Amino acid sequence: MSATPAPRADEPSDETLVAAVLDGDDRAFDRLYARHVDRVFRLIARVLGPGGDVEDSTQDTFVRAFRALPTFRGDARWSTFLHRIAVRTAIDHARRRRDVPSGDALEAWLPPSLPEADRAQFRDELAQVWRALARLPAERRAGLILVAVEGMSYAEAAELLESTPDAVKHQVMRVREHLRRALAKGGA
Amino acid sequence: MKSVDELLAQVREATPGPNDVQRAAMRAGIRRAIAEPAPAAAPAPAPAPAPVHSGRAIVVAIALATIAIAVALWIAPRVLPRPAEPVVHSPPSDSPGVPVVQGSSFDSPATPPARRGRTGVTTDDLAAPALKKQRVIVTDYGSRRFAPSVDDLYDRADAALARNDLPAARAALEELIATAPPTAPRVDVARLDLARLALRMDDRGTARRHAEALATTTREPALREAAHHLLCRVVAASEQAACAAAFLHAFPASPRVAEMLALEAANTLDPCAARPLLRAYVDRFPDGAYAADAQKRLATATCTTP
Repeated sequence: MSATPAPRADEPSDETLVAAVLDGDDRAFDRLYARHVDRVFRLIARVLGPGGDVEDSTQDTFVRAFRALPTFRGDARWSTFLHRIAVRTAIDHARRRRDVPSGDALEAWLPPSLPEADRAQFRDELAQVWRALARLPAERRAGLILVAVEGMSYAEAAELLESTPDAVKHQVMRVREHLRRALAKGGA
Repeated sequence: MKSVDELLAQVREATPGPNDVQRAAMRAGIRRAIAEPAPAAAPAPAPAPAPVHSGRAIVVAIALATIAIAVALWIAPRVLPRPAEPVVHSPPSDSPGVPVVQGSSFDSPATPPARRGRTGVTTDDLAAPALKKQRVIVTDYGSRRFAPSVDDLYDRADAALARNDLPAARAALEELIATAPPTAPRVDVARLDLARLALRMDDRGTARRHAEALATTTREPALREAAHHLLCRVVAASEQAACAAAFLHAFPASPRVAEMLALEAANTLDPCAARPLLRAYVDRFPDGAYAADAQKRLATATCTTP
């Protein structure tokens, strides 16, 4: 799992910064944003897929997290609290749009380091997998992404999806099977 | 065929992160949103009152009110005395581009919004220095209003583009570029949008001016590449080969390499100079859009010099 990098020893923890925001230290939220934005952006991009409203969803996530700060009880890590909001926000946005990604959107996902000769194949494979994923309900897609792409355990994914590990496990197995069949048919 | 896990691993590898421009734009949006009051919970629906007016009567009332307002707006400027021209002073040296109206309550251009208690992050406190001060506009009739912010103008341009109103989008982008501090995060993006828009409107001069300015000033590599690419499309045909060659030198891993190589090869008229470019295109992009033409030229363009 590509977790948010832990703060250096001489930097305050997330929870310290949250407490500082609640105590009126206005700059602390800026520091939380800077620390988590890349991770949240990628998580949302993976749930929404190429061409999704990743910037809007990321922005919404931080606004919702800011407004929910007074409800943060500190019994889980703040990053978990934030990622739960991110997943919920991405699912909300994904429900509004279920487009199959366009060629331009896929192009933006091609790693710059990819050799020219491999780009067309990589793009075709991405298109194929997203054609299949785009047909899934957003919550199921999110479950698969959290486990199979983000590398979370079923328990971690369940925490973000506000579900149970067993339910997530069952769901991911079914989605994998759907995906396998769809890809065998050429992503249709 | 690859397995599901292999394909999902590709998704993991390919997921792009945000660039600096996106980070700054999102942060500005967050600042703006959290400075607004949180949306209140919807009140419980009141019991529906018994209908008093028919729908037709309401439509007539709205129409009459609209006409009355329009007439009042038309008459007012002709009846009311016109005030003297407002005095607008240049800003102090530490706040470029922020005119201040003398003697008004807006002498201090950035009145900080009220703090928000324990969770008090405010727009002003989180704002980058370049966005902190808002210009004040004094209208012909003495009323004052805040000039639209960078974000307002960008949103206005977006909305105009969405309804395909190109002149309105262009006006909003031009105002943004003219009035925002050059370091504001969205200015570079707006300049690229304006250059593209000008090209769509067949105004190649404006497109070129903004693409050129952006290509030389922006610190964002993705924008520099996009601006350079646009520039090569709008320069005169006689300059295209040199422009494309410079692009290929500056951005050798760009996804636009095929297009730029084709542009350079197609505009290199000297057969001896063109042949290696044509050969390179055919070798690298045998299925490319220019491959057939490149093959034809290779077959016919003979280089006589040793």
